[in-house]
Amino acid sequence: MSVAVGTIVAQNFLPFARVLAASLRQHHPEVPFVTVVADRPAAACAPGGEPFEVVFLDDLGIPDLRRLCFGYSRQQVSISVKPYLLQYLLDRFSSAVFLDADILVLDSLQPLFDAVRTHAICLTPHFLAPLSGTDRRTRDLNILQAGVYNGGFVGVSEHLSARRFLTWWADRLRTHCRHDVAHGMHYDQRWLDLVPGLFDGVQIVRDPGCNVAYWNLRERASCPPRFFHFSGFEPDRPHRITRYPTRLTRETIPPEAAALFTRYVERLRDEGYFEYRSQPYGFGAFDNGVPIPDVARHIYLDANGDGDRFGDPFAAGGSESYFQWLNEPADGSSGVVTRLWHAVYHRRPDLQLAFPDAFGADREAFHAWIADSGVKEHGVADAFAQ
Amino acid sequence: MHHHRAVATIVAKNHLSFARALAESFHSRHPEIPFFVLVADEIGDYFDPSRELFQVVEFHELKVPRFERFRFHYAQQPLTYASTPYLLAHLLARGYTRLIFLKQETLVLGDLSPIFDLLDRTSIVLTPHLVGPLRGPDPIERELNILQSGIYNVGMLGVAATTAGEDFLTWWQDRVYAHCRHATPEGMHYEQRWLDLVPALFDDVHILRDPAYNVGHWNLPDRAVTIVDDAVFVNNEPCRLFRFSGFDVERPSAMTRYSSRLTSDNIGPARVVFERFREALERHGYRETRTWPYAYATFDNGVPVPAVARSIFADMDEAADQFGDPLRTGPGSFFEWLNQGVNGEREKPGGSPVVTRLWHAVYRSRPDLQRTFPDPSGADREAFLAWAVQSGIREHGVSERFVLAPAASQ
Repeated sequence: MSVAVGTIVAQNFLPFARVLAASLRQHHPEVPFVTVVADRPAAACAPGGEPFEVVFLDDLGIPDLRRLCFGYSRQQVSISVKPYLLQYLLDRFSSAVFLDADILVLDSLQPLFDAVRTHAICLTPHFLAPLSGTDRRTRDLNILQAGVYNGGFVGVSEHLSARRFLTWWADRLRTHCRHDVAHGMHYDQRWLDLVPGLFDGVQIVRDPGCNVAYWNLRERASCPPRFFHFSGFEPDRPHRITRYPTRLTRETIPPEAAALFTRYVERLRDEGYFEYRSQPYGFGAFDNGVPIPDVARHIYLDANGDGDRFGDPFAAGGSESYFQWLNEPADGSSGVVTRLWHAVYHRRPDLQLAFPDAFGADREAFHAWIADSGVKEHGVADAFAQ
Repeated sequence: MHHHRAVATIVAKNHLSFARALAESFHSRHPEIPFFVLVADEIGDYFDPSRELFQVVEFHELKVPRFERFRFHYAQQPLTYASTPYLLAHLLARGYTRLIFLKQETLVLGDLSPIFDLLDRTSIVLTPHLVGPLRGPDPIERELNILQSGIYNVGMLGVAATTAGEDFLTWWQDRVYAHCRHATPEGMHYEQRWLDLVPALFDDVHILRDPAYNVGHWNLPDRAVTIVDDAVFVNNEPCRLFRFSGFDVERPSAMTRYSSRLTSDNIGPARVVFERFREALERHGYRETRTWPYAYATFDNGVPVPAVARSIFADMDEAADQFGDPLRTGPGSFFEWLNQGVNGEREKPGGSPVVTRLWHAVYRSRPDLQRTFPDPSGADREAFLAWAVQSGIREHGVSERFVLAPAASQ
């Protein structure tokens, strides 16, 4: 019986994978570690040059991979290929564990590996007991919005049920790895809430050493973590423990936890964080170098396969390209705005209120908004300016 | 050790026929187990509890802190939902050690002993809406509906008198006391979404993945219902519990108001079960009981409590304690406070009407009104009040007493 551990990073986060792998190796030198580089293969990441196996997206057997890479942002791609990584590992090992790249292993994971080995699917909840304190309901509701089980850890082992789970999860994430809380989505994570109902052999691992993070630090202060999750931590802003809302600061968390953040920054720095962080994302731009605005990704994703008629969506050249299509006048706009800005308008009720007749009487005001604010708010390059 | 088993549901009295139909279906299987009904209302002279098939529990028997606040906080249906953990805790305190809660729109069609047996070994039994990935029509949309409304169906729930069972009820009470709301973007769907957290928070939670329970509109496309000699089968096993969530006796062919996918034309043999439920409700006095008034629907002067008044009250939190019973009217009452301007004034100098706190709250909740009447306390005051009289009272189900001479309405 063998277990392997894997993580996923875009190239600029490769140092996170290195730090995680080293921390795992310290406690489990025998456990293989695999990193999926969810990016275009590039010189900065030489497969032979890392102390772990490097796998690229092409190796994972992902259907409609190009659609995924164009339809999703960098963060969404990294998240949505999780089930494929676990399938890849299960093809080679009898159990598999996914860990988010911003995790640090601090103690033996043996009890966790044992749980994974003896159950089809293992999940770790954010909270393990009722909260107290005046903000208890707010904190519960944050978790109900984000998902009961943390997506930073998922364990599976060779059972039919685990395979069925991965097939289902991959299918849902192919089009619905989105942040849309009102509609029941929080990337990959809320889907996990369904798992104990849908599949056999699900174990909810209620070990207080697992997945210690800002959301449960107050309750876990007294127990040494097996693995710590630096969720939302940005080494460039080391004094803020997460970019997500929390009452905790470096000053209010226990000194041991504060020291952990200091150590983590040092390790990331030693593994090249400051050199790698500005590495460009290989799926971030059209092949003419124009950055892909998020709205262009959304339109493509929502077209649900219809975008295939453009061929390679990254290819900007030619009169039939997706890039050209976005820059052509939109139907129903009297020829005054491009399809890209037409889509922005239709996705934003605030713009519809502000410019009720955006393609007629309010045309000039809408164009002024595009030039003054729209291009900035939507990260749209000059190539798309109206 | 001998365990005391009990089953319970909750209705306002205009839904009494639902409790009767459910109790009858349960007692035909388990005549020896007591069935309790919390009447989340006031019984008055409308019916005689001693002549019912079940034992009646009334609100004054439950330990609900500041009950007058609690009953005002919620409209009729959400009040029945929010009362669930209080009723279960009450029954544990009376010495029952194995409890099953069933929601009102339900029929028991088979033996529920397996749940009681599970409660000898676990503390909490939850039943998920879905027990396998959906394969029928619109699987993603249907799964997302469940993610919005809650993984576990509160239509059937088991609790044992253990530390974990009691801790669970204490926690659930604390969450639903003021947060039994329908606010999906904030993570709430009445009492039900809170249950998503339960397998993580408590020991000995059993997730019962048996398609024989909680058959309902959300899983019917994926479960095969057959009828053999009057007996209902699901996926070829005897059906134990059938749910009629959203079923309207007046529109029986719609099956449920929550989804238009299911109709009497495409539902197959399950149609017979819905028909049986409709027939049971009719037999148990649906026509008569549905007209019985809900006791907490009006202020003590007979003016109906509008939804906006409940939400203003809920948002005030502790500050609302100053009014005492919010259903009371007269000096110092919540009703009077709602009918004053934001500075406590009753009218403008010269006797013209003010925009009261109630209408200010309506205004704040509606961006469209804010655009149409940018200055509701000044230049647009009369136009806004005219809108309130002509349209606002209808759109918000607000009595005319909240716009016409409010000072005189006390």
